[in-house]
Amino acid sequence: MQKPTLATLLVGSPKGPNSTSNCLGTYLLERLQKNGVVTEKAYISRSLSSDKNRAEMLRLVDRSSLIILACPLYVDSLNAQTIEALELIAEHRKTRTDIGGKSFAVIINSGFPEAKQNNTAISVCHLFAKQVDFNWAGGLAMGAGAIIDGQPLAEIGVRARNQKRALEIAADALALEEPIPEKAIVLMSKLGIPKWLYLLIANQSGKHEAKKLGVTNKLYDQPYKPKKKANS
Amino acid sequence: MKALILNGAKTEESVVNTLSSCLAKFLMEKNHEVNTTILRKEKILDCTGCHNCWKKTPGECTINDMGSELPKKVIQSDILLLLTPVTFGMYASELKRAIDRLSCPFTLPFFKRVNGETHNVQRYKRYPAMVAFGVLPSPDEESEHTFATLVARNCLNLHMTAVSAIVYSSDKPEAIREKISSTLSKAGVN
Repeated sequence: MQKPTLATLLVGSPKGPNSTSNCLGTYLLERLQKNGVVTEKAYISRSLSSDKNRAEMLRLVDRSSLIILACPLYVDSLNAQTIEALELIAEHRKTRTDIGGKSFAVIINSGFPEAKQNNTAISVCHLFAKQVDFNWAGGLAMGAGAIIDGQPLAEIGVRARNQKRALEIAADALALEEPIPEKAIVLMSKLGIPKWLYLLIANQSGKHEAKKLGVTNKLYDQPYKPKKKANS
Repeated sequence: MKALILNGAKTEESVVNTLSSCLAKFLMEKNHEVNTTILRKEKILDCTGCHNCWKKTPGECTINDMGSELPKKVIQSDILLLLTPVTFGMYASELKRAIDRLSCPFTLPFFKRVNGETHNVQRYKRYPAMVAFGVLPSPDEESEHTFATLVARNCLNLHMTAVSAIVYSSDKPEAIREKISSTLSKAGVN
């Protein structure tokens, strides 16, 4: 088996370096590096900010043999910036016939505890890979992304153990140009804390934040509720 | 009824524009009030995931652009019509940028269970009916399935009833009108 010559991580979260997407993707990159793979990283929000940065991202994709997209779930699919980047790559691929085979893998995280809520986004990425003639290397879906909340995975203890192990298994396979194993996909979807506890913390934190910011009495506001027409 | 069309065409030449005109005409003939927003002509920035619309100004987005007006426009409509080229089985970036700006202002920062899944609690009692039209160059089973699934998922997370349909670039005007008529009928818009 031949190792990928260059693996590039595209981080789709608008939060960039502070995002959970970046933490998950970076952990995978570090494991790829341990396997002797050279890696690069680009933040999509920065890459779309100018023509120069767009061209730079496209050149990076051209040079890579493995592309990994890490992004958050936004309304059941990818966020708009990530779609724009994929649209750009697809347009660019139409004009280039001299670029060799590439593999494409994705990591998607959402705030909902059920990892399966990312399935439509994974299907979208699969369709993208098919359309641009990338080899589909698989998708990892994580629920309850708030467990990581932008912290480097190495600093998180048992609550991210399943995700760390999943990313290690995935990286070891990708380094051999193999698709992400099913075992990694299953582990990635497993919560590190009980679901009821995650929901309890999430619901309490909404109220706690509101209290801290002095908006408890406005929390349920309906600012755009249509006004009832006065009787004439 | 008040209808809001979000036209997600990427260019002036897109078939999405033809579809938008046909749809507006069809609805006006039925005496509905129609408001069309051509998204590529508006300043709509990306949702940054700051959650200010949950925490600081509940229900209101704090980004200073036209995107912050979208939740008001949508919630005060009876029908929301989404028009887009189908890109990798989903909405193209123009339309998705607008949809990304709706989700958090429409919900509360709390979770509830729906059919065994977790979703955010709705902020409003009533939301418009959503009708999504995707345009494809030709039939593509996988893209069409993904698009229909996405719209059905959005219906859960945006708290709207939703119907979707695919229009092909090669469709003649009569075929487009027929698809508009049958799709709106499914959505209860007559």
